[in-house]
Amino acid sequence: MRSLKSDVRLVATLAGLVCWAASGGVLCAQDDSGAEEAVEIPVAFTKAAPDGLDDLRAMEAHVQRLTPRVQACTVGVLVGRAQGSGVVISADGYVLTAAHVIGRPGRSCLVIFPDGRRRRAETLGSDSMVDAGLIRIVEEAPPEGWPHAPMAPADATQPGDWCLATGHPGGYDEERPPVVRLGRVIFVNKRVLQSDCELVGGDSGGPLFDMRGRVIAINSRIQDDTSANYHVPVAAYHAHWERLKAGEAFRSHSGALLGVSGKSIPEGIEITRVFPGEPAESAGLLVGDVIVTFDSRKVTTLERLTELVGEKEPGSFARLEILRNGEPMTLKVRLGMRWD
Amino acid sequence: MHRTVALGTAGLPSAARPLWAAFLLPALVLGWLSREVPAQYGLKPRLYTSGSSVRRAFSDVTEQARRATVEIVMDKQVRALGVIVAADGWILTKSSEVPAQTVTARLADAEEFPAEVVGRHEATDLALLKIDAQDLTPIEWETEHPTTAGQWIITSGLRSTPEAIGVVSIPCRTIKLEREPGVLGVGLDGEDGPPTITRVFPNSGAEAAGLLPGDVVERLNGRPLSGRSEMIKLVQEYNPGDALALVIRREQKTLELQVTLTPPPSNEFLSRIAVQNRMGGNLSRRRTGFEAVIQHDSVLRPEECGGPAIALSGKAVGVNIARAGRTESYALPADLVIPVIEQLKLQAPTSRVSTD
Repeated sequence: MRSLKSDVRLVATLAGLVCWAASGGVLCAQDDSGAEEAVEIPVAFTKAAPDGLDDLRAMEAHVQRLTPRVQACTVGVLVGRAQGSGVVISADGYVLTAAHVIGRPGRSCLVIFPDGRRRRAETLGSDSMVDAGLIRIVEEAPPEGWPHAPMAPADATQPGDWCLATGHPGGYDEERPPVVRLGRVIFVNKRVLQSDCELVGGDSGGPLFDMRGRVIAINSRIQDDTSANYHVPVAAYHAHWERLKAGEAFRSHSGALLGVSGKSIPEGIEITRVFPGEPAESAGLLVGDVIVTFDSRKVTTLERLTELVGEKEPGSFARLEILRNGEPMTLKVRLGMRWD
Repeated sequence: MHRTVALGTAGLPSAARPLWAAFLLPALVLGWLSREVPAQYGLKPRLYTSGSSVRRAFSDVTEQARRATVEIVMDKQVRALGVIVAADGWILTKSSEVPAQTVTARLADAEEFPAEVVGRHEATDLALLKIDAQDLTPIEWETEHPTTAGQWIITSGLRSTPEAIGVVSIPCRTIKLEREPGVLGVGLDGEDGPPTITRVFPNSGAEAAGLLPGDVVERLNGRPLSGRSEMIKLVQEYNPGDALALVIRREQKTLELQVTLTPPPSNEFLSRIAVQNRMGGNLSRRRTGFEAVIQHDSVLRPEECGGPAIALSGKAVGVNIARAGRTESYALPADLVIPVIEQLKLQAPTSRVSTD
């Protein structure tokens, strides 16, 4: 496994981080994947809440400058009968979108730029567990490259960060540009990001930007509440970039959690630790118990157990066959969620 | 019950008719997340974009505008906001939310006035009201600076903390009129002569009026019917809420029934986008058919429309006219509203104008 950091560098190079020194020099990302990006954002965005008119003015001016740039690289995506949104993240035409927009790899599709230009593209890989999908424009790029925005590093986003969503709610509409919405990050881990930028059908696959103009996530799904908008964090793309690029359709670990540690023995996994407050403890698993099967599938190594847990969703139930003092027993456990 | 839905669209070949992709993400992940995010991992609700701490930052901006904002009260319920457009008691509001002729206008100082609707403007869905008051604080219009995407939009209420905030998503767009046809709620059969009702759908106007399977529809609003397709076409010309007079033959008897049409029921008729657009709150009944609107992302309730949409200058860039979807609220731009005020004032009874 390559480290996350090398992933970040790879993508940063691909994205050809652009210098946005225009209009006051507020937005400037350096094309130096090793260094911290020297980007200035108004201090108001770093406060818990804006404080007075000066803060609001600074935020407004910044968002107004950012808006045309984030719109320029936001595309409509047509794959067969499905339509959604996407964002170009490299001069040579890689487009992030949602897995449920592209379906399977190797399909020809179209991306539509805000000026109405349609470009032929093909679907690459997808991670359907987190809903990450990748497309590449197959037509030759213009000399200056496709309009694009850089991806943020995997760990650059925190709750409270201000963000801008764009996309094509209701589907691509030539009579209006991509629709911008301002909001804040409510929750983020490696697999999901929640924001209060309201999304609706057609926004799928569209980008969520930070105030540096970097893509931090891709629009994915919603619940009833207007603050329940879920996105795929860029960390999910960084983590499996080569697989996505190679056109692989896969499902990564769901983030479900059992909450034990153990060692392999001939009968299965002998529990050496039960983490307090986690599902295994609630289900009554004890140190010394031996897990023989997880949902009727044999468990021989801790890696295998982790894999099986990761195929289930957090909050779902699993059945464990165990040996306690040599006696077979069955336990039902409700899986938790890794918050990282 | 939490509904979690994926956001792609699987459309018919035309982009104009999007439907949802069949794919749904594991709902459990999100059901779990929204219920159980430990406090230390998530943002506090008061710090959400529409949370109280963020909205409070705009209090100074709307200090003048809230004195030019009114609540329009009908049957003890706030039905809309309104905006004071002249010091001598002229108020604009959203017409379709205020169907009565006489209502109550509640001002920022809590004083209440009887208000009379003196004119309605169908194209903009604005209504002009008159109250008997002087020396009110009229709204100041922002006509100097053009509205741009990313600009703050603040919806003032009567309180010092604004009702909602958001940013301009699209500075100006035209919203075509989309009419929802009225629904009778019956299945029909027969193309040769008067159609026969084969089925009466639950919760429909047909059920409420007592129509039964087997009933033969001989006339609709006085018109004889030649068949099923003619009747369907005819019904679709009416709006939800319209009452139709049906002449029915039931066995040997002839009956006359009044049937009130309903909007298309959600699950069977609405596309999934329409369903998603209602996720998160109700929409304004009149939300299409505007020559120009400022589209912004403030989360408004239908009864928060009709009042001023304020810029950071404290002046109004327009009047909120519709909650149109989960991602969109519309404001009529000031340059569209101002001429309508003059036009509606002319419609006021002359006695009223002369006494003022």
